[in-house]
Amino acid sequence: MNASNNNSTLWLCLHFPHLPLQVFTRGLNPTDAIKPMVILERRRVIALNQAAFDTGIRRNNNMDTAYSISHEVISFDKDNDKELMTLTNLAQWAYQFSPAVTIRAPDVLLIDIGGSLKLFNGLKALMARIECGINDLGYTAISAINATPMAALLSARYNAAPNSDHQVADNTGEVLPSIEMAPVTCLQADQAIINALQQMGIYTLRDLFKLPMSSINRRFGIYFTDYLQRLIGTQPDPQKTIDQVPHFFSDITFMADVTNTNALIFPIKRLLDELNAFLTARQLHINQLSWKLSHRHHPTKYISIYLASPEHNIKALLQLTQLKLEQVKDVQEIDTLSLTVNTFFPADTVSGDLFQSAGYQPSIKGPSKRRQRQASANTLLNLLSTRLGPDACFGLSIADDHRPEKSWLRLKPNQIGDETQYETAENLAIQLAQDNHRPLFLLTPPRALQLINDAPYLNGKLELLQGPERIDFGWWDRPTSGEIITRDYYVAAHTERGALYWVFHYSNHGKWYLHGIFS
Amino acid sequence: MPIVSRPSESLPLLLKKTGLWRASHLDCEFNQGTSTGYDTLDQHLPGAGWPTAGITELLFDQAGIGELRLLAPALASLSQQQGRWQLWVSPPHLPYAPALAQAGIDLGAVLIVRPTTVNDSLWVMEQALGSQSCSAVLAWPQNIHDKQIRRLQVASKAGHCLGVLFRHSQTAHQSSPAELRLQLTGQRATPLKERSSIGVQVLKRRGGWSSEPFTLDFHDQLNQITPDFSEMIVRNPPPLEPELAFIEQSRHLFADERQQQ
Repeated sequence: MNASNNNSTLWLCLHFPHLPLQVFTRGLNPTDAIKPMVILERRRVIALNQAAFDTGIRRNNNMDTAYSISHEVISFDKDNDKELMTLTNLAQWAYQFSPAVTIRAPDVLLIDIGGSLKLFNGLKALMARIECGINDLGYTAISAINATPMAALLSARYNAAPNSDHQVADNTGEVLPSIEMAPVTCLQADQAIINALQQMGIYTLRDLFKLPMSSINRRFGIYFTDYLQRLIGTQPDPQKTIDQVPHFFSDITFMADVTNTNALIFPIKRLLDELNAFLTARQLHINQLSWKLSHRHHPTKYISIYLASPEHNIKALLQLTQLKLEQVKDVQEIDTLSLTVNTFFPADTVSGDLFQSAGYQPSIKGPSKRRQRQASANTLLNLLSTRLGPDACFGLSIADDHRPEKSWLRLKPNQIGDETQYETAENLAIQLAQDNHRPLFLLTPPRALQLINDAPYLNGKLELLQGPERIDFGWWDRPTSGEIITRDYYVAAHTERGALYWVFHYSNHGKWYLHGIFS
Repeated sequence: MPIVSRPSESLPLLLKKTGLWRASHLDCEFNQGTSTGYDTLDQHLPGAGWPTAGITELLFDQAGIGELRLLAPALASLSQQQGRWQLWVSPPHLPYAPALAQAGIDLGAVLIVRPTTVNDSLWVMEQALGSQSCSAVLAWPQNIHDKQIRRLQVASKAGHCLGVLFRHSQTAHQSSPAELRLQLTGQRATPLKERSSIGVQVLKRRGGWSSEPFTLDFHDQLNQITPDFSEMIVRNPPPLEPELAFIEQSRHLFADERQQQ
């Protein structure tokens, strides 16, 4: 996206100075967060939290020094992959504010918010929202706004210095924080160039900009002048924005091993909130998500949740997750919780019912009936299939076949109400049910009946009322045997109790079976 | 002077208030039910039909006497009027789709759930009854206590859902908070009648004592007996009249032509 010539572009730089530490600490309860914690790289402390700082540990301390200062200190090795992944997740999260998000490893995001100001009610509101969102996710960021990506980055580095306070620009974009007073050390350039500049007595960018560009070019090379021109916006500076790959992964590492699933609710909420922002920003729905509970010493446990149809309802997902968690019996220790979603669906643009809170509508007629039912009842379906497993619920439909066993179909919950499943309303099975009696309950498989005096017997003598109705049992389905299987069906009544049954015997032998009950 | 109004004035006033009724009269006004589809039964039920919300218990000894056929017309009208589920919780056998469709039940509304444990099925019932997305929940519980029925009753009131429990008639003497309890008995209909029938006794209903047992006829011809023709088969048919023989021959000819086409 080449927008640097466009006056409306405004670049926001989010710098995450504590990322190495925060990738490990963000899932913690406030009580755990007060323990001293350090991040090590080649056995040296490169990042530490306030508690560790209070004990007297400093950056660049040796690991042994840190441990000798405080034996309580918890250490992690710096995890670059995890940082990059977190930064990618943050970029995906920031996608809700602008389509142009750029990742600059290891700890910076650049976002073009120029086009989003109106949507989010101005710069102040937008910034408040972004900063609040980042805090909620458990990170801290230093933000800076400027007209070009490089200037924003430079301002963020400048702001990171303790004695400066960034100016917030009006949404006209006129009053941008000046970068002129920034020291040359903030420039993204070789250390050699910066050293050379300082030796020349040039300490701030104002001094630097006084020099003619051609002489800087001659002295420091084309790359440096190109950088400066991109910095002040005389050269376009196209950024490689993140791809819109719908993939969601986020995880939380626990300081102490978690053994109680109830303690997982807080981190689960946090991850779901992240997912919520992800889905809202992209107008996506999901129909499955999977949780991974892992521990370094135990086999990983996966919890998958499947929904009857794609939707975006974080409250329901939380409820379903809790349901599933209750079923997890053998909980060992858990040190990492992660949430993955790989399949996404474009959000359905059916408008909801304006008066949903008024309860159900007693009569819904017309073509939207099934659809309406689907919308209102999915919550129940999801609830049932989560607790009972996906196979516990099913619907019924009719197959076009005259044989009782084959004239019905088992529908998966998500197929129920699908119009295509009910196309064959005028089919053979219904015709047959109209002309002949069919029982409301079918026994699968048929149950063999006792014979007393060559007459069928079921807790009493059966009297045949109607029949026979001869049903041919499909020689075409088993071409090899060549055997003709036909059944003669009767409606039979229990002579004393009056119960009505559907019984049959094979035409070629006299065994009797119970196949249905006229309940 | 004590404030005592004359009974002739205060009684009608009191009776106008809801929740008060004369035990000798069945008050059909205060809550309109879902018609059962059988006039005889409607006359015996408060609200002239199945309660629209609340638990109904059907008690019987033996499956097959028509306990489900009794409910089928109401299920059919509910499934067609309301776009809501009808949940069958652990039915003892497979509900047979063509027969349900023939009875007028919209198959798109039928959802069958088979929980594996008793606790799960109670949970399913309570969730479904209270969810407002079911018009009827049918269940065949093995053992269920009055406290559990009470919970289901509350849920079904909240969800405007007809809840039906099919129970063994041994449980008739147990107390139950259900809205309506019917004792069903199998009726061996007389061979002359086409329709099958069922014996019904209302054990408990809102606004009335239990009823005398009565017989109800289904709208079917299940009791129609196929006459036994086997003894009427004529062994040696007499030769046909010449004209009839010609008609018979030409019929075969037409049949052959049709086949060739």
